[in-house]
Amino acid sequence: MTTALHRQPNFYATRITTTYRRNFWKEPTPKKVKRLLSTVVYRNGNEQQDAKEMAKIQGLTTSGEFGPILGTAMLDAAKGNLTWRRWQEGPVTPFAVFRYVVTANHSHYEVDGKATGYVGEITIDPSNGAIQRLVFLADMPKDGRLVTADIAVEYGPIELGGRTYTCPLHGIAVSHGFTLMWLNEISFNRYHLFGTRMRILPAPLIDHQ
Amino acid sequence: MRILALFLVLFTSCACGAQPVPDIAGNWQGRQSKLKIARTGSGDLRAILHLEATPPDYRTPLIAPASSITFDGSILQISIDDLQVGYSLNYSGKLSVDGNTISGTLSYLTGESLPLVLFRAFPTKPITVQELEVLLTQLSGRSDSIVASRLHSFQLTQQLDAATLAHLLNSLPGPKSTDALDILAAESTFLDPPQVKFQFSPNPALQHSRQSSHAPWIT
Repeated sequence: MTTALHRQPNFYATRITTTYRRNFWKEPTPKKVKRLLSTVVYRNGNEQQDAKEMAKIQGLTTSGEFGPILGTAMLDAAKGNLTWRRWQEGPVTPFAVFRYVVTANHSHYEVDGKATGYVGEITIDPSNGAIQRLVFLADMPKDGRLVTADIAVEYGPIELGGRTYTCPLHGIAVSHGFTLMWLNEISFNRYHLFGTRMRILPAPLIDHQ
Repeated sequence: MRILALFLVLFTSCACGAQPVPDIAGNWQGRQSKLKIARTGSGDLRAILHLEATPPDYRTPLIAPASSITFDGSILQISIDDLQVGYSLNYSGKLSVDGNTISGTLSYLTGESLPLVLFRAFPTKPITVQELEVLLTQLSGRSDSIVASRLHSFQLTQQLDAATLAHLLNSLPGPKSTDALDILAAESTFLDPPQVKFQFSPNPALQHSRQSSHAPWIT
C-alpha cells in the first residue's frame, strides 16, 4: 500500500475546510464560522501543506490524507484485530467494511500531540481493492479535556495525466469538549499534475521600433 | 376469548419492551449544574461534570471528568474522585422513558446529599434516513426558513451517504435548509448506514477470515 502511494505522480490540489462551531449550552445547532482554501502539494511521495494556513483552522482537523493517514490505518490495522463489520452500499458494487481496535500504547493516531487509542474502520471496494473510506473513532482518556475526537476520510477516483488514481475527496473531523464542538468539513478538488507546458509563439511579422 | 386477550396483552407488552433504550450520551443541565456524557469509539462512556458551587462553602465551582461512569439502560452512576476541592462525590440518577430527564441524587463524602434533576439541553428527535426523505417530500413547497427550522429539530440515527445527501440537497428551497442538511449529514458521518439487503452471499469475508487473519483485499 505504501509503495503504491509513493508511485503516485507529483500533483497539487485545493483543500477547502469549512468550520462549524457549537456551544452546547447556548446554541441548539452548530454555526458555520469559517471557510478556508489552501493548497496541498504532493511531491516525491511527501505531502506538503502550508503550515500558516493549517494553523488558522480551529478545532480538530485532518492532515496527511494523501499518505500518512493511510499509513497509520494500515500500520495499526495490520497489528490490530481486523474483523468483519458489514457490507455497505457502493455506487456500483457493495463495499466491504472492516473494523479494528488499537490501544493507546500501540496507536499512531495522535490527538493534541498524544497517541490515542481508537477504533478504526476501513471501507474497501472489493472489485479493485481500493480504499474508499477510513474512520478513526478515538477512545479518549477519562481525564482529558476532550471527550470525542473522530475523523473520517473518503477516497474516490481522480484522473491525473490520463491515469486514474484513488485520492481523498472529502473528510470530517469532529471534536467535543465540555462546552464546544468543532466540526471541520474538508473537501479536495482541482487536482492538477505538476508539469511543464511549452508554447511556441511565432516571431512578430512587423518589427516595431 | 380470554386466551386471545391474554395473548394480545403479552404481545403488546413484548412489543413495548422492544422499544430502543434512549441513549444517555448528550448534554444535560440542571440547577447550577451541567453534565456532558459522550461515547468513545469503543462504546465506553466519558463524562464531565460542572457544578457552579460545591459544599461546604458553596462558593467553589467544580469542573471535573468522571473517574467512573456506568449506565445499565436506566440507571446512571457517576463517581468523581481527586477533586481540586479535596473530596469525592457521586451522582446516581434514573433516565426517564422519553430519554430527556435524569432524576437523581448528588452525594458528597462529607455526608451531604441533594436532589439533582438534569434535563437534556436542546433535545432533538431521532430520525432515520428513510424518514428524513419522507419529511423533505412533505415539506416540499415550504419556505427555506421553515425547512431549516424543521431539520434543526432532528438528529439522524443512521449515516447519510454522499449520494443520498446530493439527491436531497437538490430538493431544498435555499441556503438555510442546505446548511441545516449539511450539518445533519456531517454529524451522521460516524453512524452505521441504513441496512441494505444484497443479492449475494451475506458474508463471504467471514469464510476467508477463518483461513487468514487479514482481509482478502489488503495485501
